[in-house]
Amino acid sequence: MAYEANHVAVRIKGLVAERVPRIDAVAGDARIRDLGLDSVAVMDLVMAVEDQYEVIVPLERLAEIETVDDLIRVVCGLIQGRVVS
Amino acid sequence: MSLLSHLSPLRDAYHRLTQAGGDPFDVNFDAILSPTEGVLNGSRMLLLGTNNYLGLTFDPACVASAAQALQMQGTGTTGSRIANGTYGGHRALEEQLARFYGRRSAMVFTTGYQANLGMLSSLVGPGDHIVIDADSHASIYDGVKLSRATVTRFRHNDPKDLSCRLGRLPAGGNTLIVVEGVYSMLGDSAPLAEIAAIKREFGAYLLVDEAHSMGVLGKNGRGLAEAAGVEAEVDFIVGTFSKSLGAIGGFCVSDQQDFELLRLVSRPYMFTASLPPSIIASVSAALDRLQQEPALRRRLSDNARRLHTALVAAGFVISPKPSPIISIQLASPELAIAFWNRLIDAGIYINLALPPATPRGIALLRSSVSAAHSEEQLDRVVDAMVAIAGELGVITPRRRAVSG
Repeated sequence: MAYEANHVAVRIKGLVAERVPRIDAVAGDARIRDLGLDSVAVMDLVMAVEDQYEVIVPLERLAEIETVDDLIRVVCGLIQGRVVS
Repeated sequence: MSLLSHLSPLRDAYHRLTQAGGDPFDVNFDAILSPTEGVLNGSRMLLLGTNNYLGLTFDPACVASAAQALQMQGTGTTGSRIANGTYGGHRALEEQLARFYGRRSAMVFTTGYQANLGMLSSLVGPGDHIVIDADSHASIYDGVKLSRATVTRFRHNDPKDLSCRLGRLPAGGNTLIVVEGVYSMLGDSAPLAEIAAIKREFGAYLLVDEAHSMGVLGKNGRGLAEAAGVEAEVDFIVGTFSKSLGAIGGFCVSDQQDFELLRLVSRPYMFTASLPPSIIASVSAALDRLQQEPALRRRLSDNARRLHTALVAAGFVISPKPSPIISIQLASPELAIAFWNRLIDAGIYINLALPPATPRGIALLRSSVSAAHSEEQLDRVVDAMVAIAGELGVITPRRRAVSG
């Protein structure tokens, strides 16, 4: 599972980087809003992540996602939940 | 640090926005003369950003009906229907709406915004799922938050994506799909026949917000559900009185059992003062006009096609299909703001829409065509838009072919 979490982190950072102009590496503790993504861009990012892992990040859980690491943590939790169920 | 210091980035952006001239978000009309004309800063303005699709705001029958109700029943109801009572007009309008849509029940709300809040907050709850189009109106986003159901978005107008996401939902609970008849920013419509088929496949419920399509689409003006031939698959139709019916208010119609019980749980219905008798009267008269005069709808459609065809021919980037909402997409907010100010100088008022209120971060000049516009007015708009676009480098002015 640790390997998978790592893999998820790399991929999600990649999806963030694709949406932020002029950035080489995305730090895990970077606040998503501070990266210059407006609310619509954040929603698009979340949808792309959802499709990548075939999960659903419910709208009401967006409030707990401030940093890139938060997003990674929520998605890893959803993937694990899916595996468990 | 002041209480509102978190708004300082907004203050700076707003300041930049107003540097180019007028303030697109604080337009103060001196007077409104007709459905298509007003006065702004002493200048006569052609109104092309009103959502007044059927042009009924000055309709003599609607005005007379409102005036009579005002004289007979006073200025307001001073309270909610639950606490302070229902007036005869409220019930009569609900029955009229139910008849118009061929549904068993109808509920009237004080605004269209509240209609979405009122329905979405009470149709589903914890343990249920709501699946909404990503480009949904703010009232849908706000309404689903009140529901405490799990909320999922699907890609705008993409039935395949809807189906994918429905497939990912955990088992248990009811599922409500929410789409709009006509989307307010770009004027595009939901692919409702496909969405209705998916709804059936997954055993979900379907709510369609016909705010911009009531009186606009369908043989009888009942909206997209009628135009797409899937009214039987639509469980709830939400709409507004503030567009084609020329007043204010909202409603929902449905055949669901126990619909009447929603009046006792829908907080946006229960804890707001009900619509005043004059508004109820004008809406009722406007609904009569909508039904009795299909020519209004034809004129609206002809006008939309006329403006759309001319703008496409001129080379503007706009939606591929004509609709009463015609939005010109521009390369940047700065360009859109400059264009908007030049249009005001030319005596034309339209809407400016900027991200994040717009899909995919695009800047829009949004027009809403009315049945009340004359061909001459629309041609004047096209001439002004083409001239300004040429000056700002938005389009390359086309040279006329010279014969001989």
